[in-house]
Amino acid sequence: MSGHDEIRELLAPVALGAATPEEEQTVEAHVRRCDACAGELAELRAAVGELAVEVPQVEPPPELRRRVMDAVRAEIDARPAPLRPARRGAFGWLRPWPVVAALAVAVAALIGWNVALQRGNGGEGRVVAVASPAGASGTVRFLDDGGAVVRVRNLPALGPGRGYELWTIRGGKPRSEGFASLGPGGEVVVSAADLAGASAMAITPEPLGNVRAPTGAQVVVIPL
Amino acid sequence: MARRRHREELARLADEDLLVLADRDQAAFEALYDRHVRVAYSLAIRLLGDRQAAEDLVQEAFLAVWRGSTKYSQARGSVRTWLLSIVHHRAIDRLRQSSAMDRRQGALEEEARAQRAQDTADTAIGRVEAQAVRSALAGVPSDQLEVIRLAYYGGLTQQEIAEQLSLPLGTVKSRMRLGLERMRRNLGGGEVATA
Repeated sequence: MSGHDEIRELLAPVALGAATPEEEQTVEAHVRRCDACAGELAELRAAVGELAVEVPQVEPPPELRRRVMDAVRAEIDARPAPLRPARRGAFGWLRPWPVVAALAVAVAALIGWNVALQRGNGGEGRVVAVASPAGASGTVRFLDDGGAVVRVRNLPALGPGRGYELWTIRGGKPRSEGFASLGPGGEVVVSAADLAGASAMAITPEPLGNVRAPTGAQVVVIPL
Repeated sequence: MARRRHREELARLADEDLLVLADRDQAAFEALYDRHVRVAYSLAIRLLGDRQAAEDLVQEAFLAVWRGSTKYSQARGSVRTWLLSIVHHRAIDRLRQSSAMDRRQGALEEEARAQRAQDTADTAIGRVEAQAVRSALAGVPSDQLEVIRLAYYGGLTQQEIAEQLSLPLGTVKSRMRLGLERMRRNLGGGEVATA
């Protein structure tokens, strides 16, 4: 078994790709247990990566972008369902819901866009942007008291007596948080009092007064 | 309109955030591609010396990043470092598939030639970044740089470098380590910021 110092000697060759496969495996196994070596290897790799900037830069052909994006689209199309098993942790809660026309689900992209609110409207907490492929977009403001305010625009118009309901999901079970009618610009503003223990928030179109369980398809899903 | 706004929002995100989104949001992946494709492609061309092979390799590397996006761990380094290490690793694998003999003979000559080309081909693209890296390299003793370049660009293992330069293996190892550590310090302990 190699000692710590011997492993450290191997970090540079591994970062440069100049170690044997056996040495590489030894180092990979070691850094899984040793944070100090893992950190050092990451830094050496970063330095090695910068060697790539040193080479004469060549503009890639536009066809390459098309090829790569076509390949990604082909893989997405080949997925058995829009929600992959790998996502079970985040979206497993979708399954117990009835009427989940999975194809209709527009999963919001949770954007790690942290806005410094000190510069904003005097609010508190952290704001992240959300956007769904269907074109809805907005913000989630996480309040210091553990709650959140969700503001989403461009939601589809609904019939009379209907609005949008915000749910929090805990252990696969939805809990109603608030209801709002659609305002100008297809905007709703709904808030959740407490996000403790919640794995996600979701917005569904619902008839006024329905608070037991969601009936509509999720138009916005915000993993937490 | 909504799509354009979405792209503008994405453009403000860090690579790591784009990668989190990439699995579900192709525009996020496109933003990531646009940021890093040039350096990845240039590296692939430099290593493989062939445009078609470089294109194939870059496609492969970006797909590997996309597929691995849900497993990415920041502890392993930045997204860019990860992408470039995939390009490098796979290019070296391909180089090693070619005859080891050819490679050893060619590596030193190629290094000398490429170094000359590099000194004159200071392209406008990426000049600032390249200068930052070159000044970081400038502080590294030439014997250390030599082993680093033979490994990185030539795909030689440390044993092969030792044979090639008639040096003890221990010397090659320590030159690699000292050289990389010096580079890391000269680069400010982290990475050069990208435009």
